[in-house]
Parts: sequence; C-alpha cells; structure tokens
Amino acid sequence: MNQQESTVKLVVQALDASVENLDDDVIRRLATARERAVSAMQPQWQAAGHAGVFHSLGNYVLHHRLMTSAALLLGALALGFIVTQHVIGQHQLEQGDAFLLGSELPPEAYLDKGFDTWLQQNAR
Amino acid sequence: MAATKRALGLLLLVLLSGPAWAEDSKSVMLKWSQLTEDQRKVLSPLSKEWDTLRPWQREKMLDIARDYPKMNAKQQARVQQRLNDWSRMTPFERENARKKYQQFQSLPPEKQEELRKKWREYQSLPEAQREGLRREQPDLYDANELDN
Repeated sequence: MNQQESTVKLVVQALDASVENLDDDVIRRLATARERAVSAMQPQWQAAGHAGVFHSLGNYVLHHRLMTSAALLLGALALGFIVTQHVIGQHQLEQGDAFLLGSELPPEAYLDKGFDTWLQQNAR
Repeated sequence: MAATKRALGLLLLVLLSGPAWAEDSKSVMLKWSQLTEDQRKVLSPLSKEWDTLRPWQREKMLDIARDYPKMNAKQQARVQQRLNDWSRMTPFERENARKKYQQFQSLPPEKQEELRKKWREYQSLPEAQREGLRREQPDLYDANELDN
C-alpha cells in the first residue's frame, strides 16, 4: 500500500467516524432531502426513456441541417441508381442480343421478307 | 442550399458513371488475345475476324459474351451457331431484327408457338418458292440504309 492509498483510507475512516457522531435531527433532514431529490429526478428519467431518443435526434437534425439534407439527397440518389440498374438489368436480361440469337426463332425469321409475305397470304 | 444539393448530385453521378465510361471505351478496343478465356470461348466463331471488327461491333459481341452464362445449354448452342451470320449483318438489319424480336416477345405464348410452327413450315418450302415469295414483297429498305 503506498502513501496515497494510506491517506485516502485515513480520510474515509475520519468521515465514517463523523457520520456516526451526527445528531439524529441532522440524519433525518439528510434522509428527507435525499428522498426529495430522488423523487424530483424520477419523471425526467421516465421521459428520457420514452422520448429521449427522438428528442436527441430532433436536436441533431436541427443543428446539422446541411449535413442531414446532403445525406438524404445522397441516399435518394443511391436508391434511384440501384432501382434504375435493377430495371435496366431486367430489361437487358430479356432484350439483349444474346437472347435474340438464343431464341428458337432465328434472326433470319425476322428479316425474311418471304416469310412475311407467306404469313400474310396464309392469314387471308 | 439548392446549389450545394445540385453540386452533390452531379458529383455523385460523375463518380458512379465515370468508371463505367472508362471501362466501356477500354473494353471495346480489346484485341482477341486480350479477351478473357470465357469471352474467347463464347466468341470463338469470331476469332479470325475479331480484330477487324469495329469498336461498336466488339461492344455488342462482348455484351453477348456477358449474357451467355445466363442462358441454358440449348440457347448457348444456338448463339454459337448464329454468331457468325449475326456479325456479318448490317446495323440496319440487326436493329430491324431487334425490333421484331421485341414485338415477338410481347406476344402471348400461344401466338409465339404458332409463329415458330409457321417458320418451320416456311423452312420446309422449296427454296424457289421462298425466293418467289421474297420477290412479292416490295423492297422496303433504302440501299443507303443497308450500307450503314
């Protein structure tokens, strides 16, 4: 145990001895004051439990308007980009040249004028 | 505030699309020897003429190689079989085929099957008869367009 710890221990012992020697009236007043302080703090703790997060968030948004706007804008752009890529991807999946070449009907079928004529004649 | 938002949006667009442009312009200039193993495998029917293809033709062919793994074995076989003829078509013919393919895709399945059946029947006609049918159709294409 070093010098500092010994000093702390002596101070604690002196305080404990002082508490034991307090008047009953002083002890009663201290206890009443403590109860009042605790009951005064209780509503604040309960409110903080329910709305504290929203309150903090609101304060943050108010104090960082520019950053919040930029973050919202970037988020919206990123979402728009992802959605667009997804839609384009879907479109390309079915419309790409590879799928045209891989389909049962060959490209010549779409370009053969004789086939068009033949279809028209058969439709009559 | 509005100016800041616009600048941020523009910056984001440039950041997102810039690398894609760079990648595209780089990839279309690739020589046959610079293609990946998978790309060479898919585009093998074009190996001899690849280096003579124009950048936009290479780009389209690389798109085909990109979509190839998404297809089933039958579709893949058809792609390999038709790739050569496809690369020799004019841009006008290819665009025309794409438009008609899209129209075909929008038909109900039973109509699509009917057309496939009709195509098979048409294929079984003698070549002379098919040639006659082709001559009956007035030429809708302008010669200049075909040279594009």
